Amino acid sequence: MAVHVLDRLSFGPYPGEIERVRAMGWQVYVEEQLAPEKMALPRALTDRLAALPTQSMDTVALFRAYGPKPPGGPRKTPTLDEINQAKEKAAVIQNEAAEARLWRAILSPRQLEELLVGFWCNHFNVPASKGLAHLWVGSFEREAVRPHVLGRFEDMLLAATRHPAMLIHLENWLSASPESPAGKALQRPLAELHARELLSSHTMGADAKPKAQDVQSLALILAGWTVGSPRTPQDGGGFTFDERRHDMRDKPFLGQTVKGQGVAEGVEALKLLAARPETARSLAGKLARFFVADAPPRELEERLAKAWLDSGGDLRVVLGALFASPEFADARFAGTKFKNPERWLVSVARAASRPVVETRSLAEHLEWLDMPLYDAPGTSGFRDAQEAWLTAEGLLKRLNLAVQAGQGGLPCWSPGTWRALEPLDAQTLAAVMGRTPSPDTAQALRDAAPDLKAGVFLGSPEAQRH
Amino acid sequence: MKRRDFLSAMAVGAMGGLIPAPARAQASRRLVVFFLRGGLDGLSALVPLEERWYWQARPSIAIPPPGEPGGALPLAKGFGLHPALEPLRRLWDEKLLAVIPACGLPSPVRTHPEAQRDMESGLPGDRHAAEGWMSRLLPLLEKNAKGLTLAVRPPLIGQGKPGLRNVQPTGYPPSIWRLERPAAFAAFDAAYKGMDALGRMYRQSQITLRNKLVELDREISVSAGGAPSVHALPQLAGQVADYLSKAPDARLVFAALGGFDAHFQQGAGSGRLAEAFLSLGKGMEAMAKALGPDLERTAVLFLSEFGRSLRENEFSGTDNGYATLCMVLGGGVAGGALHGPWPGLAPDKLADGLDLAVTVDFREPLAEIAQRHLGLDRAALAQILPGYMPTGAIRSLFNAPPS
Repeated sequence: MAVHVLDRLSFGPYPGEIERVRAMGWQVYVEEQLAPEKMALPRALTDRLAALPTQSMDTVALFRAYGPKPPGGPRKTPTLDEINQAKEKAAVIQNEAAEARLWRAILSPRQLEELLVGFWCNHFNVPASKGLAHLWVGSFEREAVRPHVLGRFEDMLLAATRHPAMLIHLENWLSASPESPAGKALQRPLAELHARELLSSHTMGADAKPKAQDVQSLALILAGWTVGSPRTPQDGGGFTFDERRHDMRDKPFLGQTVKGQGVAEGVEALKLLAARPETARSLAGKLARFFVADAPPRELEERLAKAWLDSGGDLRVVLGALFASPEFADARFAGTKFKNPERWLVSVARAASRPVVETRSLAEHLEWLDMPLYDAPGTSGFRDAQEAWLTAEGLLKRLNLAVQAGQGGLPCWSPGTWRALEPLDAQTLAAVMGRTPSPDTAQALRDAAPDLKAGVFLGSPEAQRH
Repeated sequence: MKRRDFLSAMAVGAMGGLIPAPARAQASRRLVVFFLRGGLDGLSALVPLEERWYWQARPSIAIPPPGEPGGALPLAKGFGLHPALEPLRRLWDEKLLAVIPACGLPSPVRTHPEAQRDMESGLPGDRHAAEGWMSRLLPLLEKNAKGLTLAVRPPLIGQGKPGLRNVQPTGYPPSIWRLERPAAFAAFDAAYKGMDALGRMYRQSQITLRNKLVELDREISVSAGGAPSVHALPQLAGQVADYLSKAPDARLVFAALGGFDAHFQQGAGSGRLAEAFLSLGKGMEAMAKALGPDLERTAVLFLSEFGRSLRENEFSGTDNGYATLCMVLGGGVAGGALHGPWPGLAPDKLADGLDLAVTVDFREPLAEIAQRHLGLDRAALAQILPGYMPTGAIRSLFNAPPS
């Protein structure tokens, strides 16, 4: 059970961790992980994070430092060249965000929190390649996601929806009600994309078919939620409410009526959405898939949905119920999920336990493995399922990387001077990861050349699954 | 041994003193160009020993520092020479070899045929260039000057009017990169023999791999452009020197060699690239020896269309990159020195974040050779390299103006 718990609540065990969890009891480990605020981050990690300057900048500061600037003088808008230059300069933000993500994944004792941050960032996907979002991939995570991963879903939904990264990505920042003063002058003022995503993939599920009426109402409710410098007390963090884009009529929404009251309408609508049973079912199911199996038992999903509704979407309670469920402990599901590239690569780095000197190269490996951090395509992020990651091309790349890692040749381990490669040891790795090689894998390990053995293990089916 | 001694020692060996010396002294200067096709990995030939990024980016193919097994040979401050290029150290010590460490096209072009076309035409970016800079250079030399290219198909560099005569070299060894399925995958076969989803996908991945290797194979043979492999260089060098000694009017010679496209398993101190370097080193030494006293009035230029990526790829090789080293061998060059700045390998110094950046346009050494070795004026230079303004970045390449 210790192995299974570490497989699912962490990026994979480091040397001695299985024994540690066995000694303390896996339930204690789960409790520890559910209260990350009580665990101090090690110096090794905080020093690494401190060395990434854009990681401590907020949304507004990032825009001021890296956003495209109007050139001043007679020209009002920057030229394409100026925009591209600003973009090039701003590339450091996504790079540092990815580096920080990997540092935390490898070194943080708050492993569950890191997994959840990844889970929810993917859920509220804001791809860096879309518009100005590249400025804020890191600040979106810090401001909208990280504070809420063990809090209430409603709070996260609100924070994510009003974040400039999201407002720009889903185009709500340009939206205006046709009945509003600003909207009357525009040809097609209302943008419904954000409303549609809110009703489906963000809450009630990608398969939900929201009614056209609800989509339009929500778009009207959110009209005026835009970005800019603060004007009213509700504004902040780059969010601003522009009442000239909003109309004050009452709006029918999800069978109820949202009274015309400005920015508070949106807050009310989001609370309604967060409290929907469809939302509970969809997101409880997504969590069950993430932590238990690609096709989790129906009863588990229903039990979790109930815990979700009873607690008012308290994620700590829902996760507690998940980890205490018999399905989570069911040996049938242990080692059946296929690791996504991030999980696999980080599990290798953790198990190898060699000093990692930089994470830039790891981020590049992930890009190469079709999992560019902070740049998942589409609005719903990477798919969490074996068939999404198990491809011929992807497996080929993984096995190549496994061999490279097994020979001790990952660039992230290079001290920056020459050093003869020291291969990792296959048996040690198997023990650290808590894996017993299958007869086939054991055969392959026996037959492999000495410098390939560790690579064969890291690329074997056992090391690909968790 | 002093440089003069070395030259005369070689003269005795190569020429046997058959040709009277005074006749040589009057003769005019020559240029030999060896085009190393496939993209020569400058970072393996000239190892930047003090760049931590070098060691970081190439965990399994970096050339170890001096003193380690298969280690580089100390050359200049901060730089070592690939051990297989050992013969070059003697030429370097005798001040006969000058090296430009980061040379290339004005902007990155990472496909072989296009980059080779740009370098041979001397008109980078002109996709329809139909004549080469050597054929523009030839008529600017004295009236009966002759030029020769050695290639399977007449190369672009010698095309135009009147153009250089082409001779087909025959009987040379073929490409040195033989493609095989990497041994590592055989080791996985047993682990994935199951009939589950992973096993099925593994077998599919091996088909993908085979297709990839075929694709690489094709690229590597295209990159050589039909040129004989670099292993032919020692022999070819002798023949070039022979031709030059028998044809008093011969002023320009061009030959192309393939075998530098190191997409996989390039190795470090030993391995496939090391073997290619071994022949390159031997060939350069043979060239110097065979030219004997003629080296004094000859410049031998070694060019490659581009270098390799800083990072090693998943096949322990390198992909097509940007800047690479350019070498000039000759009696008049300011040898034993690096010419032109070194851009560094820090991420923000790389071209496109990937490759060594170019600090010296490949036309700069051509301009230096034209002006300071062949004694042409600026007007002539403008004809050879239309639209190019020399920057003077490697003013130091030759010792003295032509007499």
